[in-house]
Amino acid sequence: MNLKTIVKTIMAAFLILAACSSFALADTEISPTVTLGYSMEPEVLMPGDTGTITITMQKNAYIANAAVEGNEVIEILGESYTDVGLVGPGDTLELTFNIKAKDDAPNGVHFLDFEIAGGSTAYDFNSRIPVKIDDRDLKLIVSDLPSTLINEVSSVNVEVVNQRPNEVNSVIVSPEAEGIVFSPSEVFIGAIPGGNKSTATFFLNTMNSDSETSNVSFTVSYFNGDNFHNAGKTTRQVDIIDQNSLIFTSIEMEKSGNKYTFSGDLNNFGTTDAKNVIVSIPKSESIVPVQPYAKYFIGTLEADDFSSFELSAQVLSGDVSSIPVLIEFRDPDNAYISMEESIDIDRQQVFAGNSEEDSGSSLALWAVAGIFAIAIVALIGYSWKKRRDEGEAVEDEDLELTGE
Amino acid sequence: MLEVLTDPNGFFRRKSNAEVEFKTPLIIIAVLGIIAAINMIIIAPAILEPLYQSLDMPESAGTVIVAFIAIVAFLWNFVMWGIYSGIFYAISMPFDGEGSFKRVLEFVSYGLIPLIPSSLIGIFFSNRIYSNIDWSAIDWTSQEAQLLVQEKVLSDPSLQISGIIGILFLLWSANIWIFAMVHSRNLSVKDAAITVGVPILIYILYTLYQLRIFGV
Repeated sequence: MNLKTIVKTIMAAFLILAACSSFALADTEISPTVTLGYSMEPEVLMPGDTGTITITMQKNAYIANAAVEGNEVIEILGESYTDVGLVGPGDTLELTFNIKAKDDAPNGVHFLDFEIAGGSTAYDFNSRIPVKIDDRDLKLIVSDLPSTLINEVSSVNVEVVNQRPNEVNSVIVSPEAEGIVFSPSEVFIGAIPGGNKSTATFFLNTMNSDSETSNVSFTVSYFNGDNFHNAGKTTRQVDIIDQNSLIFTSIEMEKSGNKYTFSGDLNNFGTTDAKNVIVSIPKSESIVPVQPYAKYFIGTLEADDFSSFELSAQVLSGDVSSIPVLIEFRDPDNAYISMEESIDIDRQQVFAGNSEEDSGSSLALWAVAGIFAIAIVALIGYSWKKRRDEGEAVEDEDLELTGE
Repeated sequence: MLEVLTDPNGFFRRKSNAEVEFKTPLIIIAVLGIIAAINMIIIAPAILEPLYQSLDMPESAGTVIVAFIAIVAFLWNFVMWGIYSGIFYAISMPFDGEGSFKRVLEFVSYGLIPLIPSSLIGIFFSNRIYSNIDWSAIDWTSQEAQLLVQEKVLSDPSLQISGIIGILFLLWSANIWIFAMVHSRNLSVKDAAITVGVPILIYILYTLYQLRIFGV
């Protein structure tokens, strides 16, 4: 074998090798690699919810069709993708499908079939997408609502528990009851992550409520993805008693002419603080407040606390049997509240004076009367004695004259 | 003159020999009148002030009314002097009393001397009772309110004590009047005691009834 023959043989071998190599490259194009990802919104559906599945795909090939197939639990809304086109190397394709969980869908993980049909190479790709369905709702826990309320401003904390495995949004708690004013009327909580809770605080104003039994209900609304939900009502029964939360005690009244001065204690019998408390006697035709105690500023009166006050007024009519006292304050939510209590003027109080003092001085006066009685009786007795003495003297004088 | 308080019999016996004179009696009654007027000046404004306010009367009108009341109170003592004398004179008539009404007037006035301290004590008690009442708080159009005030005033222990002290001084006066009648109308002590005792006893019983002393 000469050198030329050897060279020809090597070249032929390279050609065969090159031909073989080009065949191997064509095979890679026919069988492309596929990277598939997916996401759900919301993460977990409730029966009847709609949601979206977004499938992210990296595939270096031509795609004719992409479709998700529904089943007896999940319905696919909308049509499949057709003639998607060529996805270049390194490109990402997102395919979004609307799905709806049927109303009677059972809890659990349900799989959807995902199919991609290739182009002329007739390459197809199948995959299964898991979809979670869970019917657990939000729960309200009313932990500190008293069973009996007076005419007061009280507070209640409502815990909103998200029992679901996924986050819910736009959570709003709304209270409702006859004869009770709530502040605020609704509380927006926002998002609550799965397995967490948030607290909504309400102030209940029963200042003007009559004695009655009222049903206090709380409801919560929220969104699971784009699906609006209303959790059922949580109701508690509350008895309202006609009793003011701010009450007077230890009232003392002093009278000077027609001017009355009251002093005493204002007690916070309620469960919340009363801020900026001021007491005053409203002016009327028959009652005129008198300075310097026409009004008395107390300030913040904490729950289960008291403060002393002093008020004075002139009473211009005999018809007045009680003096109204206006109590103004702000509740913990800074809402203005006013209420009116009255202090009775006992008709007997028209006659001032301390009875104990009176009885003591009366005793002294009776003693003085006794002294006068003794003195006068003595004087009367003395005058009669004088008369008798004078009579005897006259008789003696007469006898002497007769004797002469 | 103070002899009349301790020895009225001797005093009037000597006086009966003298001419009737009214200078001392008028002074005695005038003193009583002044005390009564002062009492009214103290009491009346407290009662009347709320009335002026409700009627929108000027203050000067109030002063005039108080002055009028004081004058009436002053003069009322002269009237009472006449009434006492008239009653004693009238009752003594069946006992064949002899002596002029003038003499009775003169002697009865001396019997009013004990009422001077009695009136002064009365001022103290009046002030004590009336200052305890908020007259502005009384509705004078309501009969119930008026009865309440009347009831309260009459049942006030101060008024009872004042009444009892007044009765004691009246008994002292009555004692003087007995001798006054003996010498002014020439009555026996017994007849004079009946003349003075009957009306005074009636007056005392009426006062005790008013003061609820017997719980009537």
